[in-house]
Amino acid sequence: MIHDKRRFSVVLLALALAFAPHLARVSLFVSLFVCASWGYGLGMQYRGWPVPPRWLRVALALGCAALVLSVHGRSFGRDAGVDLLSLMLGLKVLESKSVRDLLALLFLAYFVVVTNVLYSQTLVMSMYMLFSVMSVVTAHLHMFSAETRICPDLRRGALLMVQSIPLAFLFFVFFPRLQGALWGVHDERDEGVSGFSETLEPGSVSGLSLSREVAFRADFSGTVPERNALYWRGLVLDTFDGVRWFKSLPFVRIPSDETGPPPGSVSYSLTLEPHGNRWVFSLDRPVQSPHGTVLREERTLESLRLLTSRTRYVLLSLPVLADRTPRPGPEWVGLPADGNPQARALVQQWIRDGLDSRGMVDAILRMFRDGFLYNLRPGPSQGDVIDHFLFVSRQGYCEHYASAMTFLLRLAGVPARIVVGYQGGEQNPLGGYLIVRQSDAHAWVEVWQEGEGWIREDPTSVVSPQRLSSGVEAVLSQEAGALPSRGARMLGQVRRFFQWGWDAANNGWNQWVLGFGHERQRGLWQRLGFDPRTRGGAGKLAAVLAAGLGVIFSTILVIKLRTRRNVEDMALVLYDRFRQKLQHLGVSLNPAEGPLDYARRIEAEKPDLSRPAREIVDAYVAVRYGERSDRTELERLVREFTRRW
Amino acid sequence: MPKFLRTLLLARQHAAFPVRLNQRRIYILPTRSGLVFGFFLLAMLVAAVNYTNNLAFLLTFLLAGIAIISSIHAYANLAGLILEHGRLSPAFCGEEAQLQLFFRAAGRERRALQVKIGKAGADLSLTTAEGRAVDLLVPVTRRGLLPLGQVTISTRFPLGLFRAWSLLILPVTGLVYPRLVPAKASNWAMAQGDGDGGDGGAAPGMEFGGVRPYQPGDGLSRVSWKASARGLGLFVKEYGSVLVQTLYFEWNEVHASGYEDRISRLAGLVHAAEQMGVLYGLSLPGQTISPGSGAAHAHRCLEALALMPEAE
Repeated sequence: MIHDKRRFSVVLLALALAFAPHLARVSLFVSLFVCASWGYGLGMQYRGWPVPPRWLRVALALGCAALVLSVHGRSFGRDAGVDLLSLMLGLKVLESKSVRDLLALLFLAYFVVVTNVLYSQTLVMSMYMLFSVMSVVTAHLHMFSAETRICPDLRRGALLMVQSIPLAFLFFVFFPRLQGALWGVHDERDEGVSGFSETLEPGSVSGLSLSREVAFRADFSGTVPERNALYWRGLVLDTFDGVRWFKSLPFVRIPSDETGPPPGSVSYSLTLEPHGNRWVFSLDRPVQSPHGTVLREERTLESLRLLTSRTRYVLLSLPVLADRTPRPGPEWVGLPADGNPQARALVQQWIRDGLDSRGMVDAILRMFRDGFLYNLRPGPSQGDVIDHFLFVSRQGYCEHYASAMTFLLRLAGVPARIVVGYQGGEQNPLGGYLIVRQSDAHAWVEVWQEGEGWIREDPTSVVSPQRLSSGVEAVLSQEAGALPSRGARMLGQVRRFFQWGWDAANNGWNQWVLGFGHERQRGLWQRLGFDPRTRGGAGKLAAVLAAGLGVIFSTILVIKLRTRRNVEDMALVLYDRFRQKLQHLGVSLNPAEGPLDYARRIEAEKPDLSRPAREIVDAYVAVRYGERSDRTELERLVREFTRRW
Repeated sequence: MPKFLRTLLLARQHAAFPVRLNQRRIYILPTRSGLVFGFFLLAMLVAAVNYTNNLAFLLTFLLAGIAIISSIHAYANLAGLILEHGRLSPAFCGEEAQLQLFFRAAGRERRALQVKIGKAGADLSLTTAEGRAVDLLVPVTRRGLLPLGQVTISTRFPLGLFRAWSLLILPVTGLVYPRLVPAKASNWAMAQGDGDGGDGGAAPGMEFGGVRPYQPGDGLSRVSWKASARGLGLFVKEYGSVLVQTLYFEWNEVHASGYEDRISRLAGLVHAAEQMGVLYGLSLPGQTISPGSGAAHAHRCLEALALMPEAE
């Protein structure tokens, strides 16, 4: 164990690397304090600045702790803990004079690395975490290796880490996961919340979200349905107040259909990025509610808790569900008493024309097809937003069409509602799953038809069929009007390929590392053939774990104990054989004697052996210390010598 | 520790050269910092469980794996190491004997080994095929034969979380010469008086072995540097009738305060006479060493003194 300037700097560097992601997260005064005290610590080592007196350090510690407590108040959770940890890092550097202090800093550095992952668990961050563990291990090794350069310790640190991966993997698979936290964890959300909201406002300025951020990923166990059929239900909006659509009807739960997969059903798993609300997206229309969710009467899934972490569901949907629900109540045709007079007049005309509910739907779609434009930025409108859309601007995107259609149908007394969710998705050929992004957000209409129940009608599809077949981006690029050159297209292909690869890596990481929870663990154990709930299963589990540990441990031991037999060592072995032979012949062995002295001594003690001995010693010196890397000559000489004498 | 266990362990520690460290000789236990690290790991595990954070689990397990694997590295750092040879040079009692241990890496790199005997310690690192001698200075406090005692070879490499060590009792015995007490002038006189008397004109008792103390007026060319080097003052070479004088150191005639003091004073006389390069002989109860000089002769005399039986 050595404590000197260089080792101090190496430890501080490793600490800084481990702490770097925290720099922007901790309170400002904490990061200032940490930087200042590290700077002073360096000054202590290199410039001989005095160690701050004990009373000052104690005062600093108490003052900073009080400040942290006052900033965080009673909610002592992750953030406050990291603030305190950072303060300790700063203070410890000020008093690090002995080897033990330096070791304490290293251990704190390991801890800091682990606290980082409470904030971010992305693949990139994980790689950085691995890198910082590596640097801390190197600094740690450097204290104990008596090495004057850092490079050999870097190599040793990497080796140590690589060798410990199998053990880490074994622990990871077999350490039992609990289903909840040990004690209350404050909901300190850090992941982005989607641009999706629970209201729909056709006249608002905010256009459709064009974010490429991933909303969820879906992995189908069978064939993936046609893109046109990929309607992902989020929630149903049932009430219009003249400006916006929202959800106001009370929650009614319907039982999950657990009778087994009905014919024609689609099974898939869906990994939802955290969005901070309760809705769970599912392919139109879900028939089962997985653990932790409930099925609402309007056939949407809702989580029992807020979705603040990535969650995976296994879902079952039936694309053609004729549920033949009876005529719904008057609330499904409810509208504000006045407003949008032109729309009201139009519907009155259609009623006078004797259109029934089906005819009404056809009339609306026909109207949209002839003379309406799909436009993602139609501009804001005020007052009678439906009239403005239908008779003035005559352009808009899914929200406008869905809201106008629902409005018209309800005016005619036909029960109708708006469904918001996503439509489509991008198939990732490298991962075999579907990526649904925020830009795939969509709104459509459901109409109640006598004898059939709620039927999906998508007015956007008649205005812009391309929106459904190729997605928003295709529509946008067409709007831009420029056909990309061949080079640009190829470049785009390459870029997309890398994006797919990166997304597949992230998805694998999310699924198999981050998503390896209680359920997945149990599933894996059961697939391996032991059920921990039974007594025999638990025993088997323990046996497998012990066997795995034993195998890994002994393998690494064997690898580690393997001696390196290179040319030099073989030369040494041959030389030893020669010396032992001579010992039998009466020339005593002196291990500290160099080969040339040895040869001289042989000459003096056994003149008759001097010639062959000199040859062997010369050959040995040439291989061991000289240029020659071929040991056959030495081998031949030694063999001849041992045979002859 | 129960007695039989202690005997068993001690029996294991006896080794013959060349000693190869193997699993029978190597012990390994976590150090205190290893235990502290374990406590840190536990804290991390609690955090991981509480936040159900799989990445935290993964990192904690990775660190646990590193700690466990580091114990293998610590063990492998010692295992197979060959201690080929050891030698304890003779030394005067009260001084430090030089212990030389010759290690051979035997096919693997060895980092940060610590060799320790009593309070003396030395650090050692070896490359893959290197052999190297380690010198330790062992304080000696008793004349006679000195069994080396227990040598500890230990390492905390790579992370200091585990300490692997090996206890060895090596077949190395050193010789400790008696404590040196500087020769008194009266004893010199006695030794000289026993030989042929000097008639060179100098004061009796002050002339011996062809050298005499420096007097003002003596030319620098006559100074015997060899004789002066022992630090008792300057001596000049005597040219005259006395060319070589033979000194006899007699057990009974040496002025001394006791048994051990007598031995020490004789050792001092032998040492001084050897330094001056004169012929000297030694007569002890039960044995007589005829006059001679040179390192081997001095060793013979000092050995005889060192091995004198203990006082009754």
